[in-house]
Amino acid sequence: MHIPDGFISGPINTLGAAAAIAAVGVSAAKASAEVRANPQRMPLLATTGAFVFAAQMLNFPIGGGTSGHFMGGALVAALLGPWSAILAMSLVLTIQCLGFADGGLTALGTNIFNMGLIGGLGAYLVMRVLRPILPAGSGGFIATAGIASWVSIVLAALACSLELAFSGTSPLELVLPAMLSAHAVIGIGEALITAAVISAVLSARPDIFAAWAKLNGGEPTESYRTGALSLALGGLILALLLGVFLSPFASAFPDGLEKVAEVKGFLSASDGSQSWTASPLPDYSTPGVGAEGLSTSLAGLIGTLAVFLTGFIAIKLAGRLRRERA
Amino acid sequence: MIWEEREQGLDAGAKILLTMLFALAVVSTPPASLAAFAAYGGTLAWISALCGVSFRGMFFKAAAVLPFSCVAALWLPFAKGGESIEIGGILALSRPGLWIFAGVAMKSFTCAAALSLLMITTPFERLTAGLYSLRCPAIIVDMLAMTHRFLYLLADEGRALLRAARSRGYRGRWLKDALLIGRLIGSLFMRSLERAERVADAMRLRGFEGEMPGHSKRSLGVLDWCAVLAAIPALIAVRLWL
Amino acid sequence: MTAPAIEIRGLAYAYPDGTSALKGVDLTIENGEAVCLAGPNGAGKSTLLNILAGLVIGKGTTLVEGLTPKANSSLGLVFQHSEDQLFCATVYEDVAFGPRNQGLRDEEIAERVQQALAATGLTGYETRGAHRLSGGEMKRAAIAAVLASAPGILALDEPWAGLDARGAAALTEVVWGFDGTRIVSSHDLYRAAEVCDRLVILDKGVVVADGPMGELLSDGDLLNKHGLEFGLRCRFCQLSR
Repeated sequence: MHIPDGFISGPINTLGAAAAIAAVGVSAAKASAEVRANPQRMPLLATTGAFVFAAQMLNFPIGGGTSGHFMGGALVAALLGPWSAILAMSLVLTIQCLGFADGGLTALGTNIFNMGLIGGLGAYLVMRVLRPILPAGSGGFIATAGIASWVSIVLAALACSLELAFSGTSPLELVLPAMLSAHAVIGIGEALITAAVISAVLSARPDIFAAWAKLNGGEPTESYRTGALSLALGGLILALLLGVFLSPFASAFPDGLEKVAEVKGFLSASDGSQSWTASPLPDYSTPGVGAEGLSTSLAGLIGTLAVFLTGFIAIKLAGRLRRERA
Repeated sequence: MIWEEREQGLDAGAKILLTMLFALAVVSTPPASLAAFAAYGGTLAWISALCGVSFRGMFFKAAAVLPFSCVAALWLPFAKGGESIEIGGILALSRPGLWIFAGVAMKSFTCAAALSLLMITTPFERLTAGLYSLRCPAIIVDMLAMTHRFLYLLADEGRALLRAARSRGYRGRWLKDALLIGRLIGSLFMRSLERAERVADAMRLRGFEGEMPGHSKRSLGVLDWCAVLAAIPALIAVRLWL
Repeated sequence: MTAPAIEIRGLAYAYPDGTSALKGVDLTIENGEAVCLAGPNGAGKSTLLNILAGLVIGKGTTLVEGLTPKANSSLGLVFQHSEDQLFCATVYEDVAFGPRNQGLRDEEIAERVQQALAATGLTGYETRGAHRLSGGEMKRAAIAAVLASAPGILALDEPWAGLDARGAAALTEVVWGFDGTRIVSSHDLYRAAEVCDRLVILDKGVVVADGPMGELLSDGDLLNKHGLEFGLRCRFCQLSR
């Protein structure tokens, strides 16, 4: 999923770069503080990064002659927490780009967004949402990480396809189903590898995952407990992302394909070139969907919010009930 | 000769900056400007010749991105609307689609070649120092360097593990050996963790207390700025007039 | 009467899982001595060195130059696996790491690095990446990194392990050239005998012998009893020394 130069349009790359710089900046500041407090953090971060790099070279066939590779976002998030995960993934991507010419320089920001933010931070948020729901104990934790890694791969693939489509490089009706289905299978491999590593670490060094706790029925340590608000926000953002992006397409899926195909005309300038300045949002309307789609998006937004709130309240209630019963 | 010395003598940060400017120019060029792409390719060929870089090596490394262009953009000539071109009376390809596909292929190839050139002419240690000259935060530079260093350590561990497994009959078939592969990966990670702790000990023994010790103040020199400032109008010229 | 370099009384240490590594060690090393710590595997040699370096804390009294051992003291420890001690991008960075943390000025740092590299025969290796060194070079680079902090005591854990003859000889030169207290933990008594005057045999967590190298080396039975060897039994020649 390392996007080379030239595939993504300027505006999207700029957005991706901005998001990446912001995220990496925050992670770097936090990592700086963490390393000062606990010097052991630095070689640990570096080792995890190196491991992800090495593991990404693992190709596994997914049928049809294609192969996928491990990404590592969920694993790093489980081991190091959200900010260090973003930093570690960004380090890996930067080394791959500058040191091994793998992945584009102008697309580096977008790649960091896909694999660091969605892959790392996204996986973390999903884990935080899932962890209280799944059974306590190491089995539950491994399942959480496995599911989160699958989700992170699929979401990253979703983001990648949307970026490619809105840049005019690939037709949406082809790239979206292709990437999603391929990565749904790759995600299984990712989940298995993540589970393997985590169970290996759990059997030898359970203390590393103390922050996720509930392994022995204990409470999570401070740094993760006070993040209840970020948990809520994170889950919300995630759900919103899903809702906004998927609802216009999902709702009209059978005829959605035709609709998108019709609209590809907007992408080309008269000479048929892929202009760098072709904005994916020409009139501040979501391309390919027009006014009708906008309302669908809005509906998706509201619906997602409703579902999220309901779910959130349900979890809270369940948690309180469990505590009262205990 | 002077040019060659300059190229080698440029600060790595300047090289990174130049590569970035180059990539930006390439990426923003409409594919119809074939002359511009010829100019880009020519520039890369000239620099690589100056530095004594094997052109073939660069070519093959850059060609690795071409499959991606096919997977991503090959559909456009078939799927896109607009003016169509008949091929052999049977195939009707979209002209705008063909242009986009060609553009993606050319741009990704050229930029990959530029990155390969950067990678071949600059060892990674210099690249991290170059990032520091570009005012990248020290923690990131330190971590990049350390992660890169650990790559080799991990590669050694991984190779040792594979050798041990192969000597006992492991063949690496994905599905059959999935569980074993999982365990191998798990042990590789555990070993890396233990190594990380030993390195932490070594750092502590030499006085590390949380902050990598002072980096010598470095920034881009006059030569570097000259190179960058000369490149900008050159790239703009190619972009606008070719 | 200055404090001895190392003073240990009744040192005991047990791993987190309960197995005890050291069961009461008494040892005194004066300034300037060159001591070899020998013993079979599992005797507790590495643990002892780690305690002296301040990496782990044991029970009993341990004093390094009269103070409790701490991580950044006057004792420089060279690990058995030198890759673990080289974590910077270049050899220069690694060797300069210690002096930089000591807060020295740039010129002093450069001087220390040059001296350390010269002492280990690695002048000219400054810009080499650590992964481009051979095994012997890596070991010497690790020693240079330790020497650059100007330690008063140099401790080496199995220094000759895994080195070829040339690398081992170069290493012996470096250790011989060190001006200060030397503690070498090794079961390679041939090499150790070239740089150490005193032999301390450790077995099952206690000191079983402590005396001049020459004396103890001629006591074949003692050596065999504790898993050490100094006699040469050669299949192809009928000699045994």
